[in-house]
Amino acid sequence: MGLPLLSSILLCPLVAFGLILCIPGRYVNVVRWIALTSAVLTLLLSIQMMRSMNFAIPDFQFIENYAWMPAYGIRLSFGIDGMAAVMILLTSIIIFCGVLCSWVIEVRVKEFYANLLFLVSGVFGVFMSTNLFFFFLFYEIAVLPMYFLIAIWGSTNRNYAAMKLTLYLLAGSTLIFTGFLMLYAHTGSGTFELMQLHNVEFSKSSQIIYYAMFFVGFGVLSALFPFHVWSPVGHVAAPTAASMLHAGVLMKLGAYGIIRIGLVLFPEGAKFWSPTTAILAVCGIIYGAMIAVRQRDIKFIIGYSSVSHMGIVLLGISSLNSFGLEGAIFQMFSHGIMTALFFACIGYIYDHCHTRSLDDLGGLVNQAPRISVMFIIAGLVGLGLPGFSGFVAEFLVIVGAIQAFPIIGIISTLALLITAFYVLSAIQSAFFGPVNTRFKSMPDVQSWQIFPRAILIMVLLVFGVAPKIFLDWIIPTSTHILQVYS
Amino acid sequence: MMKSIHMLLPELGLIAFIGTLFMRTLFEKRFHHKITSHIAIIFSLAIVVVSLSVFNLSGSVYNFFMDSYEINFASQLFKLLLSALLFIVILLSGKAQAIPRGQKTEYLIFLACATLGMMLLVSANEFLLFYIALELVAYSTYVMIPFRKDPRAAEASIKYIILGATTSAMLIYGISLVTGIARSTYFVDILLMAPNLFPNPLFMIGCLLVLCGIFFKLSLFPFHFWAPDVYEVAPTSVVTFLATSSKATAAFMLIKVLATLGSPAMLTPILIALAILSMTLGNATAILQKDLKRLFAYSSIAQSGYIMVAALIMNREGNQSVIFYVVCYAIMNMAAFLVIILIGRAMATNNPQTSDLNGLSKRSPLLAFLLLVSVLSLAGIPPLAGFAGKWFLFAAAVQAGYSWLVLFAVINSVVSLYYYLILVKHAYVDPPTLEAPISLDYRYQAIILCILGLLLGIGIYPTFLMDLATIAANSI
Repeated sequence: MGLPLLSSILLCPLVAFGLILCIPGRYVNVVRWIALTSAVLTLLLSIQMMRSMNFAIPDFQFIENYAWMPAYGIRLSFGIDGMAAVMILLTSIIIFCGVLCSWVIEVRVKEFYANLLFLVSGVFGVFMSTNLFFFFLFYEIAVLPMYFLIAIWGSTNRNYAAMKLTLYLLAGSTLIFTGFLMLYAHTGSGTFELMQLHNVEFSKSSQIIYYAMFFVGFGVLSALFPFHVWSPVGHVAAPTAASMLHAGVLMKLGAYGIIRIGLVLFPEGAKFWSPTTAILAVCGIIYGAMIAVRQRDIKFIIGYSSVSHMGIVLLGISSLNSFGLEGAIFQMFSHGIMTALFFACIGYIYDHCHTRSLDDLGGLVNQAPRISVMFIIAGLVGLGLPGFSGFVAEFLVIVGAIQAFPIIGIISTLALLITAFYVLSAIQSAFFGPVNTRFKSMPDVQSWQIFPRAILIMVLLVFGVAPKIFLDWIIPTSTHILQVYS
Repeated sequence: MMKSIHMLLPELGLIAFIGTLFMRTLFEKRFHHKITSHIAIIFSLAIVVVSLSVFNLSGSVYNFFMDSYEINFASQLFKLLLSALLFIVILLSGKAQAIPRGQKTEYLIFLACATLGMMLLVSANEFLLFYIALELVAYSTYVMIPFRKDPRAAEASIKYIILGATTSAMLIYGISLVTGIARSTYFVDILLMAPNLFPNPLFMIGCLLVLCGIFFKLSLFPFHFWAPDVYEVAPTSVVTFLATSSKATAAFMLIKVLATLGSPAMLTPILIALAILSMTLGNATAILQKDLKRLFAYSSIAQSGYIMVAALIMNREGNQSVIFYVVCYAIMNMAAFLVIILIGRAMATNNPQTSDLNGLSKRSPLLAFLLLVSVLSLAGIPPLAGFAGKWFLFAAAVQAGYSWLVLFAVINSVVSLYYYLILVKHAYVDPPTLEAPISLDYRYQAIILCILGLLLGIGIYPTFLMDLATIAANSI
């Protein structure tokens, strides 16, 4: 390809964003088709990226480096390794399905898609940036449009949720901002380039401080206990595509940051904090699961289950061994797709039933078997049913956790039990049981609306029965990162 | 020296402008008042063009009036900025409701006098000229506040005058101490003598008192008390002028005076404390405000705190980041006040409230977008100019070792994001209380598009402005 691949993946949503801003708001269909075209292009480009990427070498590939303000260490540089590549693939799958699932929105369509595309370009930018200035710039761009998406198109308690989410996430990013500036000042060579920062020696005490700053700063975005409180209200209030992006991709940005910057640059710090972070992760897993048990609003259940599943990711990262890290990255991907599927299904149900409460819904499997089955599949993935990718991910993380912290690992398996409980009881209340006559006339999903949800299920299934495909992509990277720890 | 007199053209142009306006006041009945605004616009545009022409990138230095008046890169940069800001304020004052029609000319005279004072100030190389120029600015602005016939306007202007007079007194006393001990009123001489003078407590007190004069103009704690009342009550175009030009000059004089006094490191703890208090006070109180101009007054107090964080480092990186941020800040504030002026006209009030912003995105998408960009830029969100400015400010501070101060400042930025987002929420999320669309004159549309382009352009590619700021900092 003549054009650099990574820049094109980044430019696709940005150019579409620009185009959509120029079109008058009443040409709703034009806006939708532009968004869809850019999502399709991005997906094709990411698949091409996966095909032409050599996963056996752990170094950064598709490197692009443009001088921006060289005197201040700011260069526009991109590069991906295995982990970043799968994250970009995840984002492009979710934005594609998100754009399709948002087709039914009628209010202020132009601004909705503009915000969505701007957000997604920020996310892509984070995954492919290897210069800390642009990492941070794209990180902030990925957070701010959520405010508008939730405040304008959201549902329950949207103003409160939007403000809480934005302020929490940006408060977390203050630690990251200060940390990046300190790194720049510390190195003396005046660089923000990740590849050059690898070679810098940090003293053990400074590593401990830096790792703590970055772990908490990125952890806020990853729903690290006890900074997770923004996440469930944000999930509930956001419109479908925003929730899909938020839980599916945004929360993974945090874990990605911890791995890319915390684990790689500060191994001594990671080892020092690893017991503490493991305990916080397990708290998150169990706390999230137990609160989900008591929820009556399905989106709150999914929100707290996201907190719980992200706890699994953080536990995998804290184990600092190969099973743990591979499981963590696998869980990032698998949970992203699964939660996108969850929100896609519940979004459809909410659009037609105008309620998400377990008390009101019931027996939906009779009127709408297809959407019910899709939601049930998502639930089964969540509780770790073998055959789907969720099982592989959780298995790897728990084995890694038991290797590193036997007691903590065993406690985390309890969470699986609690997850099974709330998932199955939610499914039983909403979908099985006596038919609720209020929703007798609810239409089931039609063909083109099945399509995005089916794609998500396919991905979960493929990586569930053939996890080696995914693991081949990430094992070289994770082995390379963990070299320092053995 | 005759051939280099053309470097003084901006100031001479302003004097000619003031002279013309003064002549105009003598022949009040003969000419139609519309001619005044046309004359004003043409003159201020001419001054902008002239400032551009004397903008020497070669970095050469000219001295006038027995070396008391220095023209260097930094001074010309600021004169360009000041003349551009004056031009925009005059353009906006065309339909100003708060200024009685018969007093338009006087208002323009004082605006021009204040700008002249500021231009003299940025070029001053000597403490007496510094004091005279500062007083020129001060008296011009004292008179501009009570243009509205309003008892609260009188109260605010009394507060401003009394506090201003007090700090002026402190300033001149400080100047007398400093120049007395250094035995010269020239900046260069004081700079040479300064390293020997540091342990002298009288010199330190003198420095502090001189700085107090500047803190007043910068609305830094504890001299910020005038800002909320004055901003709320004065005519909005006057407030725009204060918030942009006056602030920019004050910040520049802060770094210049700190550099001249030999960068007294002993003062740093005091400056840190003032910065922290300004940021905290400004942000915390702004959250409670419902009046837009008061909210921006408190926000400007907080922004002075951020500027102080970088200014207290007293090295070249800090100074260049301050100059960069000050230019960005003038543009951002101009954008925000543009929105306030236009909303005020649409709602026929001198004090728009936050609820007047409701549904702005439906009433005027361009104005709502300008509000969004200016407010997010003030909060420091990429890819806007404010983010680049804050990045450089805090990078300079971290490099000098003030990491904890920077963490505090960045947390304050997030707090400020709360009240800025509330404004955006009113504009974009809330339904409009008045359905009437706000139509914008082509002149306003042109200015708005220019400002938007600048804010986005500087944010995405700050190199150009940063290079200018670096050269300017070198010449201090």
